[in-house]
Amino acid sequence: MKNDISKKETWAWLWILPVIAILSLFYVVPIVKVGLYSFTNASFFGGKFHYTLNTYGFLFSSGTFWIMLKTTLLFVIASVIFQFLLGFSISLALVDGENRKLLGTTFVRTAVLSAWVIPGVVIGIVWKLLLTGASYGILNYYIKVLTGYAIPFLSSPTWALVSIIIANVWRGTAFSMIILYGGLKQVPQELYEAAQIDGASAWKRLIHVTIPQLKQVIFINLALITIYTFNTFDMIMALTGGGPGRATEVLSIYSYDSVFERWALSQGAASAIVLLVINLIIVIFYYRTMKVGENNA
Amino acid sequence: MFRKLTVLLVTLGLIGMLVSAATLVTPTHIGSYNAPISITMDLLPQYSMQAVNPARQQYLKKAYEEWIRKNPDVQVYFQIISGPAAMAKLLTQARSGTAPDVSQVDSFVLPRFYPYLQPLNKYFTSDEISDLLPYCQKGMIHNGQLKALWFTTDARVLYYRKDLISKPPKTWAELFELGKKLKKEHPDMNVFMYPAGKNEATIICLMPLFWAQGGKLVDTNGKPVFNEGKNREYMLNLLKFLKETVDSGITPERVDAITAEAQLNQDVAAGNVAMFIGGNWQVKQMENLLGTATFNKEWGAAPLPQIRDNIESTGVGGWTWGIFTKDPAKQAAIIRMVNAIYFGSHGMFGWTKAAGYMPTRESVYKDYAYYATNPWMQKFLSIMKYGRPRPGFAIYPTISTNLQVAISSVVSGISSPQEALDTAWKNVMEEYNRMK
Repeated sequence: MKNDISKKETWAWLWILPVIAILSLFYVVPIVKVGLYSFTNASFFGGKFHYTLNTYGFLFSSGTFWIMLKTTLLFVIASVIFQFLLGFSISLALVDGENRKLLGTTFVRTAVLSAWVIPGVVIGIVWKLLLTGASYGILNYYIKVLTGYAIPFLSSPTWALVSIIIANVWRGTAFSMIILYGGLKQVPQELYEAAQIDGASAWKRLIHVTIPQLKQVIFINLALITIYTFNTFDMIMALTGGGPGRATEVLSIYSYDSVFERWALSQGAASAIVLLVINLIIVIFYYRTMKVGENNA
Repeated sequence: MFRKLTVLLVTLGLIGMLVSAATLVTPTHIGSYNAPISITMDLLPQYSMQAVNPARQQYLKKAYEEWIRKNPDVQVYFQIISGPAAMAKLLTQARSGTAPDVSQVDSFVLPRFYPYLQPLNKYFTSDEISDLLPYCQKGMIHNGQLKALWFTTDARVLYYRKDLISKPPKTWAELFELGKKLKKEHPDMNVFMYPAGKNEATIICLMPLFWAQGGKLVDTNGKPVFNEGKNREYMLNLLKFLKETVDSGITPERVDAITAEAQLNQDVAAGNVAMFIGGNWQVKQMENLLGTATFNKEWGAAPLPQIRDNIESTGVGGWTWGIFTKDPAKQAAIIRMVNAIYFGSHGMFGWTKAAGYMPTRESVYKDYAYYATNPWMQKFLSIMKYGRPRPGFAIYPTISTNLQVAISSVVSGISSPQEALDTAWKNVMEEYNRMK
């Protein structure tokens, strides 16, 4: 019997070999290659390159890198907070609406989700049309009619950062909503009924019943939206391109800029590795949270 | 009966010929698959039969059909290249010996490809080469060897509203004087616009205002010098000028979000722009937007306004064909094809007319009525004589990116001209020293 199982395990390895090969070829090899380039002075311009730690030294000693990292953190923190709060509020409203058998909850869910399925580039272009200060800028047209002034959404450094955060929150709220909505549907109704009998207010039910029950889902949600936000590229590229100046230049844009605009392959690779390390830390945190959740279950 | 049979056979023969001609040309391959000379050609989609523009598509299809019929011993495989990484990939291929037989090469990175491109002197006479615009000749020839064929070009000019401006400003002082007057008369008007966002368009549109003063971005060895000696003064002049355009109200601050010349078209179409720095190809775009008659009646083009009178410069670019194959038979076939469709006088006329680019041969502007009688083209030609391409040194992309940020920062008020220039210089020199 034991022999049969070990034979089956050997065969199982054979069956998953193609998957391992494909994953290695298309995921592991490129990552290793990028990692190796990050320890070189390679450029698309230069011929031969050599291995060096100077690329990381250069990256971490450059003032531009720290400004960009600060911008990235501001963008991520603000986006994650608002995506989570809005997603949570909408999912609570939806579940409550469904409990009260209100009409239109499915429509609301679909409408919010539509923002999530639109490609990032399209979102960037749509928000650009909305926010631009040009004569065809939709939002500024109404603001100008009401106040006589236009807001420099894309041309002032502060407003540009606010603009990419708003666009990203608009895009990412749906994801938080759907994850938390799924979690809320799993919370046993009896807990709410018991709390109500004990005289708990809506706020207390949220703090003492809903949030503790959703703890694991909330952690997963926060981890995933943090990763997604760190990796945001297409939407910002289409909306501001990282400008004005470097006001909206985040890690992914910096990486792209290094490789494709400045042809500095090693620097782009090093900044991509920094992004990878940040994402890995979040993933480790995510798995540890999952494990704690499973052990507590 | 015999007559009917003959008609039938001739008809079938004609149909057969048509079908075979049609199958000879597809967007990815031309010629018979059995043809002995097989060429691989890399090109951008808008320069290929896959172009979206119907005029380009029709011209190329017809031109390739005609050419392949006359050259049955050749077949060509087209490979589309696109995106910002295209030239970087091509350079990597060239270095590893896997480049296509022929490829489009962006003129401003041409010097990086010199070591890998085959000399083409034997295919052209010196008269043919001297027909090309001076900056094209300079870029195409390296150490006496003809390394590429520069077949389209472009230039940046000052577009101005003829109904508002009788004499376009030649100097910055004239620009401010005129701008303030126009702003007073039309408070909602964007008097003077230009791209100042984080993109190459900003550099190619605005660096001529630095170059015309005598400024240099790099020395002859490729060392950055834009902040050294007189160059610093010239660059600060430019940055201060840009800041003043915004401070004086003639330019809206939002130009710092404009990353391409064509992004100005909508403002122009809305009728609230008096002057702007743009590319020659915008004539066609704006004729489509405003109507040919209206645009030609309302708008004119002039050289870029400079710090003082009697100096001129404009940013130019364009594309070249570079041949990587060493096989003489392939080289000869490529030259025949490229000459017929893109680079020879007739090919260049046909292609630039269909695509809306500027020819690089001076004779095309004289010999073809479309150019000889077109005031726009003649004006562009006179401006292009002062054309200056961007330097093709390895440090240039870093200089460009940092100057884009500097210009954008000054215009949006993030930094003063001095701070912006010092930051750009520091970043560029850090990178330059690292590259050494």
